[in-house]
Amino acid sequence: MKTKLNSNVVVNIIIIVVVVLYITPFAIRMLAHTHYNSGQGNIISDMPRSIDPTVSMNLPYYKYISVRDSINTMRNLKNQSIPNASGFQLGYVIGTTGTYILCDTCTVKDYIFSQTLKGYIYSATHPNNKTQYFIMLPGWSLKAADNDYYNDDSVRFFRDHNKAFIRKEMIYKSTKNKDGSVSNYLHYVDIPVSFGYDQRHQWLMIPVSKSTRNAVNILLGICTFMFCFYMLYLLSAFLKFIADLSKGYSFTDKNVNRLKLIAISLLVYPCILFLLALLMRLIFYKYFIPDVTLNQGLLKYSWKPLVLGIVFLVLYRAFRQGKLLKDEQDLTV
Amino acid sequence: MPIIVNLDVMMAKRKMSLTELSEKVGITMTNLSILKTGKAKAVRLETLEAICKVLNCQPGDILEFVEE
Repeated sequence: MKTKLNSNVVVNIIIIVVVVLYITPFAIRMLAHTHYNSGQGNIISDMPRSIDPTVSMNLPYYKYISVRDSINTMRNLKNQSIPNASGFQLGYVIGTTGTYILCDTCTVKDYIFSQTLKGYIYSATHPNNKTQYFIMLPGWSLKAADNDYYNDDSVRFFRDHNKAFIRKEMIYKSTKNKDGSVSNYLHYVDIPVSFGYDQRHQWLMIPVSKSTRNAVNILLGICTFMFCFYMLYLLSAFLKFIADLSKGYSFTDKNVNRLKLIAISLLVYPCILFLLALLMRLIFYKYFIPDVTLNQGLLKYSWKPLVLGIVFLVLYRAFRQGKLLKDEQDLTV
Repeated sequence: MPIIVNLDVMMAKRKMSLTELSEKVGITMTNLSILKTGKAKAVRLETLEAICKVLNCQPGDILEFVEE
């Protein structure tokens, strides 16, 4: 008996398949975690030296917070995460910045001149006013270790004596237990790297000279202005479309073309972002290591223009059909 | 277009102008002009009925099929 598959049935099947594909990894992980939670999972054989001073848990709460925050501020300064030079940024593709270069024995006071209500002001006359310039690659970040499901910071970037490292867990031995479970023996490894990393935003930073940064900044500035003008052009097209609708001129060639332009722009934009991020990987391939992966923020950011693009594409198809019907109606006597 | 509109022929036979025909049929001169020049994509049956009544003819006298 032949079954006819109409479009409603096809859509239902697609939705069911997508839901099953979405749930399956969670189900597999839950089964794997049942094994992990039995207490015979990962075993860390040696604890590494602490990157920063540890805060005593015996301190009163307000003092604990104050000490912890000052340690975090110093760590951000040492990791060159606090910018002191602004620059242009092209979404999740590329940007420029400059940060303080902090020595290991320097204090926060050496680099902070005074505090105002809005933040800190840096003194330009300070003798240690050295700046390291970077090209930011917001599309790329450090990934979590494969055996760590809970802590996204398990591959941790830090600077020590102005050299950059990443600390990660590595499995050096796996043993099978009597009950069939597997115990992984881990140790921490500090691997030197040649890139910088913004821990707050979780994106890669490539050290460059001031002249390179200025040249890239000029290019980015031009691209940013062109992008802004194009966005304004799309916005004006949409507003003109709304204005024509309100006047009763719905199904016209201009409106159909405007909808088409907006739909294509919105659909192509995330694809271009993704391709440009891959291009950055090609250009700066020397700095990339296996622990660098595509930033999840890029994927999360891309779905909105895609969905909006699909909506406008559907509108374009509807208005195109409407225009054909209107033309036929206009030439019907 | 394979369908030829011979409205101008019938109008000449009945000695009627476009303006007079549009008033009697009850459609605009623009639409009648579209029909006369062969640009129309469709003709309503009620329009065809009205034209045939006014010109006292058959639909076949106005519409002619010619193979391309």
